[in-house]
Amino acid sequence: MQKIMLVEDNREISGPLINLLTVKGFMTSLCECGDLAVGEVKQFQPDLLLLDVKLPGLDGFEICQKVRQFSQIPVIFMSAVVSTEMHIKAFKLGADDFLDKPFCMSELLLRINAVLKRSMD
Amino acid sequence: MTHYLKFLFFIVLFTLSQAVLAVSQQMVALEERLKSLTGQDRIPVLIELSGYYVEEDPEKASVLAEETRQLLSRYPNNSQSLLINHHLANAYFNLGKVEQAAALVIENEKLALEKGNLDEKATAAKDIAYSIMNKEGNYLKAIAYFQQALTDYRELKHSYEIGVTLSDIGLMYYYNGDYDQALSYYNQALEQGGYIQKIEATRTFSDIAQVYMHYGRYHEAIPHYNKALAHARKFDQATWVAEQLLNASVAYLMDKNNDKAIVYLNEALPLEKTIGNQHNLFFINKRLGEAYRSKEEYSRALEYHRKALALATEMDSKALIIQSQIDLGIIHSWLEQYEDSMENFQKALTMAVEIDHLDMKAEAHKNVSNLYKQLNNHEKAYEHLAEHHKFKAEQAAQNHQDQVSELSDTFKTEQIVNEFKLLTHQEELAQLKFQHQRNYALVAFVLLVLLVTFFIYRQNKKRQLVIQRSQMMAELVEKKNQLLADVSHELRTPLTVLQLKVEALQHNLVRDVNASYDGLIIKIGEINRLISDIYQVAQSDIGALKLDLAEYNCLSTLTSWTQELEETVTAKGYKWSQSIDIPDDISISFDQGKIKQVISNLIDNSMTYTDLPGQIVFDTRVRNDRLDIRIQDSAPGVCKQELPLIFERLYRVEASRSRATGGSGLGLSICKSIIEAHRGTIMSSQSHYKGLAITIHLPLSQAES
Repeated sequence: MQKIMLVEDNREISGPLINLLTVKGFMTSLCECGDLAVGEVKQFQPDLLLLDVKLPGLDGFEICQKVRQFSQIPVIFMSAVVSTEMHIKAFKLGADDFLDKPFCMSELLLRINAVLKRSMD
Repeated sequence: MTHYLKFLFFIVLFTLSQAVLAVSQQMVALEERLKSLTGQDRIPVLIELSGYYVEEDPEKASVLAEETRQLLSRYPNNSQSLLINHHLANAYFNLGKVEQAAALVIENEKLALEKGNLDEKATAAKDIAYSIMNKEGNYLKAIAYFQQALTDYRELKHSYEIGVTLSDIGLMYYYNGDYDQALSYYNQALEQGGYIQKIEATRTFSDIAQVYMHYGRYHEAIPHYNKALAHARKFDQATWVAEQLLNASVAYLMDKNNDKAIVYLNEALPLEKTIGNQHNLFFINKRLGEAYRSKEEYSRALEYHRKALALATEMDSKALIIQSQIDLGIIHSWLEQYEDSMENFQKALTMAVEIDHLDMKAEAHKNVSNLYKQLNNHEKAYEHLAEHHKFKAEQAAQNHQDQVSELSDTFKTEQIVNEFKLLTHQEELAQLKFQHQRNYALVAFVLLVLLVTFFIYRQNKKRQLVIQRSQMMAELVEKKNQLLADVSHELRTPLTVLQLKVEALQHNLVRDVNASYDGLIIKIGEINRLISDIYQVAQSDIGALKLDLAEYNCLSTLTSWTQELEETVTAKGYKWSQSIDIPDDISISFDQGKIKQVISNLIDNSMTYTDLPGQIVFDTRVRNDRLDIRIQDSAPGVCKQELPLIFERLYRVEASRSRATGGSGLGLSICKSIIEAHRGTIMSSQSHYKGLAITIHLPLSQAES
């Protein structure tokens, strides 16, 4: 069973997502605070990281930067701040994909599968 | 009186010539050197020798000068030409060739004006002045040239030359009978440091004394002569000392101080004997004779007058012989030695007739007549008296004629001087006019510069304003862009929630479907509120926030609001407390709807961010035409650093006062806009209950808004 870790402070978003991912057969873990995320990654050892950008404490970019220092797991960003600069910044820091909010669940699932497949190859 | 003055003038001229009598070894050496020189090299030595011999041997000086002039025609040199012409003119003057001297100084002045330096110009002007004085006796005209020289010397700052020239001008005024001016110039001369240090200043002291002598104020003349004497003694020069002794003695004689006169004359006598000036020796003996005659020591008087006669005879000066004979005759007659007396007077008369001197003839006849009167020969006395009067009359006629011609000369000169003054005046006027024009031009130029500077300044100011405005615009656009980005983020978040909720419903991922639909409706309400808030913010940004102002009773309005608020707050489980300190009759002018919105927003905010069970405290009072409202809540609070930031748009306090409950982040910002539109203020601080306190000050009257 593949493990996905979600870092998201808005429970109205994280709730349905965790629900969906569990139903689709992933083992999930939720972290609501940026400062705790890196430790959680080390402990949970996810196969994929879903990262919101705006977070209390460390933001998504900072978390990605720190994670890349010890792990090459796939990282997908989700953000309500939509701009090309944000995308470029994320990919430069080692992101594998970027989803603009609002997004539909099926697209998220397709992207998760694609990224996971590439990482396993 | 005039007799004495003439005598003094003679003394001055004689001492001048005596001053240079001592032939120095240097001149002998120069003459030796001249023998070995040829051509151009001879010129400087010739000039020096010629200058030296001008007084001692003017004939020799003129010969040397002529040779120099010939050499200079082969080797031209302006300065040397000017100098040798100056010496030659002086030599001509000393030789009595006044016309030639005058021609030469005029030639020299032209050369000086064309090619000379200031010093040479001044010398040439002074030469002309001396020439006019000697040739024409026109002192005023001479003064004009002296003044020219004075101006040049002043420019050169030659203190000594300035002193000499001032003294010369003084002398000219004295000769012209303008004694006050003379004194003024003499005193100016003595103020010149370079002049007062020189022996020549002696003459100026003496000249001042002479002015007092002229007025018959002998008592005042004496100290000035003594000053002159003291000054001459400083330099230890026998000629100068002797001259001043003689001058002073005359003043003492006139002042009837015979003893003092005798002391001075006795000091002068050996000095003059050493110097060998017989003319002065004659006068010393004559004065001594007169002094003793006044003291009625007739035998001593006779002794000195005889010595004087011997000297006059030796000099072969008939005028002096006549004077001595008359002096002797007078004393003989007083001693009643009439024969001797008659002999003296007759000799004087014969000689006076011989030289045809009117004055002396008259004087001799008068003395002879007096003698006859004493001898009771009235017929003879009358004859000689008649002769005396005849010559006196002739003398008077001649004097009259002289005076008339002198007056006419003076008149002409004054006319010339006045014309000259007029010309100078016109020139000054022209200069003034030119200066005026120049000043106008200068003022115009300054104005132009000021104008240009002003325009440049204004342009710069304009440019700065444009830059500032564009910077402000850029900042505004930046702010607007930032707001748009923030707003889009704030809208996307609830939209994401909506999308996820709807999809969860689609995919049957929801356990309680009804609850999920309720959630959707709540979310849509939130989005709607957010959009209204954004609209309000945008309105206040463009200044379109319209206030619907009206007068309300302060107390009743606030009381009704607090009742509603209390219900809401207590319903949510918070403790409510209030204090209203407002007099009945106070009214306030505001937009009731908007102010109520502010207060509701603040209370909502407090409820949103205060932990249960908490409390909310509402205080209001009126102070100094101002309504104060304060809303406080309990923990959690906001840290001090974040307090000023909470009114910024979309600013959310992190940590404990988190976003759990979905405010737009625009509420406090909107409150601030509304209060400021009412000319009030809104501030945040920490509450007494460990939470947040918001204080509002509102003016009671909105008269100006």
